Amino acid sequence: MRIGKTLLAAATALTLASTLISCNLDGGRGVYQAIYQAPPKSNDKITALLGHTSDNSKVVGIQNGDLHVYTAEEHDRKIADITKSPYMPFFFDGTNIYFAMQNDKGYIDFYYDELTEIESSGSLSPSPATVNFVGGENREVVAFESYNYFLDKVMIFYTFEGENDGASSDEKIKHYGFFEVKKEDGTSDVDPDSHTITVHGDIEVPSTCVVFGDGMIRSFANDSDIDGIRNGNFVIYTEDGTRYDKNITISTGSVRESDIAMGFDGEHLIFLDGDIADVSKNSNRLHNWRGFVNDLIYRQDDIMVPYHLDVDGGWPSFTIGYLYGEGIYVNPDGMDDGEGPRLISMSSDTDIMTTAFIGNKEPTTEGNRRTYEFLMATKENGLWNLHLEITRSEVENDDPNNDPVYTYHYSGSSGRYTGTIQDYKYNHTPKELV
Amino acid sequence: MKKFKIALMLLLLIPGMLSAAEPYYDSGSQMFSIKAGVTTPFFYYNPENDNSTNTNKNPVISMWPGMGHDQTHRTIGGVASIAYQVFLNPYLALGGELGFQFDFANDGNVGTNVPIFMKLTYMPVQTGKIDVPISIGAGFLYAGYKDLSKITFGCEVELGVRFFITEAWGVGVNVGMYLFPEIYTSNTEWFSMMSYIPATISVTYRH
Repeated sequence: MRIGKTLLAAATALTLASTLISCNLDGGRGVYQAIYQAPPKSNDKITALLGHTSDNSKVVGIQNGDLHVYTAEEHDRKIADITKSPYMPFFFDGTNIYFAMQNDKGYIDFYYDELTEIESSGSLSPSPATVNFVGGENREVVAFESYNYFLDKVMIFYTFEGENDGASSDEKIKHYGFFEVKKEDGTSDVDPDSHTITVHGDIEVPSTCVVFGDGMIRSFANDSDIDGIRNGNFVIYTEDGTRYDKNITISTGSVRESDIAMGFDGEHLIFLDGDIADVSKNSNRLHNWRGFVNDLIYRQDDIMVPYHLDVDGGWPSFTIGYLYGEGIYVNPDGMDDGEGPRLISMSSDTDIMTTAFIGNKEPTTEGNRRTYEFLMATKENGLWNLHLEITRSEVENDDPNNDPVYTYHYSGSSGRYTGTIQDYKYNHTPKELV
Repeated sequence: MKKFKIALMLLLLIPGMLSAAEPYYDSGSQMFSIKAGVTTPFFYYNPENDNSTNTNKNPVISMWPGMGHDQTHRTIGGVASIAYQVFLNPYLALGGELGFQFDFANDGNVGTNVPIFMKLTYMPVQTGKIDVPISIGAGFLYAGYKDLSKITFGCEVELGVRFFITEAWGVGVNVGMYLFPEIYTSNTEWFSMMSYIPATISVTYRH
């Protein structure tokens, strides 16, 4: 009987508690929805690669906000915590890391620090460096952005004090320039003795410009009303300071979203609506491949970093890239007219953004099959490995005196990489504009 | 086919034959159980998906563990509980159960549910050595994930089989279904429902 009373008391207490909870059913906030919508587990975020040593044994990058090195022996190693540092690292010349920092007057000053010093001390103690902007002497840099997609070439945006008098700082004319850490003739725009960098280009561009390919930026003549993609001319500039005359204006007047180029590999533009066009055809998207990829609208700006590999020995040269939300894309050189690049793999984890390619291994050949391994840094998934396989078959040839003619088949896969950068050599070849 | 029908009839008759025997429990008998096991996400239902990146608020019905589009975005998880019940008559026991269930979301963070249920158990089979309890439970639920939490209601059904090694101590296996609706009266876009299939082993002390 006593147990029955206890149970009755418990039931009464529960009923009272239920009533109280019922009165406050708007407490809390969508717990199960938050779980259902949780983004994938956060992996290493490599937001920038600054450069590599000449022997490729060490690459410096920014991972999870800190300075890291990737070496032949270690997957990665944190060398300095810079999350709260005022210094913004923007490239590594093989010996020194260069930094930009805003001074008390609101201008940008430049600094350098030796990598070995940073590694041994675990902190920064930069010394002043000099940056010469061609055509911009005696003016102060008021804003600075840097892109180093290609490890040996840095593309930068900057603005100068004194222009756009009376305009607010965010309306100042943006300039676009670049410097090369290692040129083909062995020289460099970086003087390691005087710690002076020479920036070429100095193109005045609208403030909406972004880098989106090998030496290419896009912009609009008028800054837009919605995310910079409407109401203006869409323009492509090359890094040597000239606008790309052959196909400079992709669209005039009201720019449609489908006219926004999101990637460029030196030959093809990939548009926001998933189409692809060959800019070498001197025409306004007459030579295009509709529906090359899925609709890229609402995706991120930097969807592709192409990597062009010159190959000999009877195998084709090609450009390989990774398209955000799609997977591996290959554009073989010497395609017949009417043929376009191809998507060769749909990875299960395609929504990754490329920071830069680190390099590729020496290809291996077995008969009519050749395999390549590429390594790139990503903004969401740390180091990422691309496996490409090319198989060729000989076309029947009536004349035995002729060289064999082949057709090529491309296939590939990709995935998170946990090894070291050993054996991955940086062999990227800038692709000349046609 | 005929043999199958006969076998099926015999199978269905067993509980009846067993329950026809003298019941083991009396009014006032008590049971204390500890359970532990795994939970499989069964389904997730959200009639008005509040995803800020998706302007189309389509209902979401997804099933089973996994992070795929049609899955619940949860992993297989774990569950543990303690329960105390008193028999109201030889076949019905009433009491309470405190549980703890967890699994992991796509981002690696843990999601938890703490059910505090009233539990009613019907014991159709009770031989002294073997019990077959059929239970329903209902009560409060505390759901948590990162810095979010919610107190709401929940309910469960459960079927078990227990084998008593001694007069007082038994072990068993159980399977059931949790139904956890996250109820809001005004912010109805946050309403959603999670269901699990718990599979547990239990240790029971009876007196």
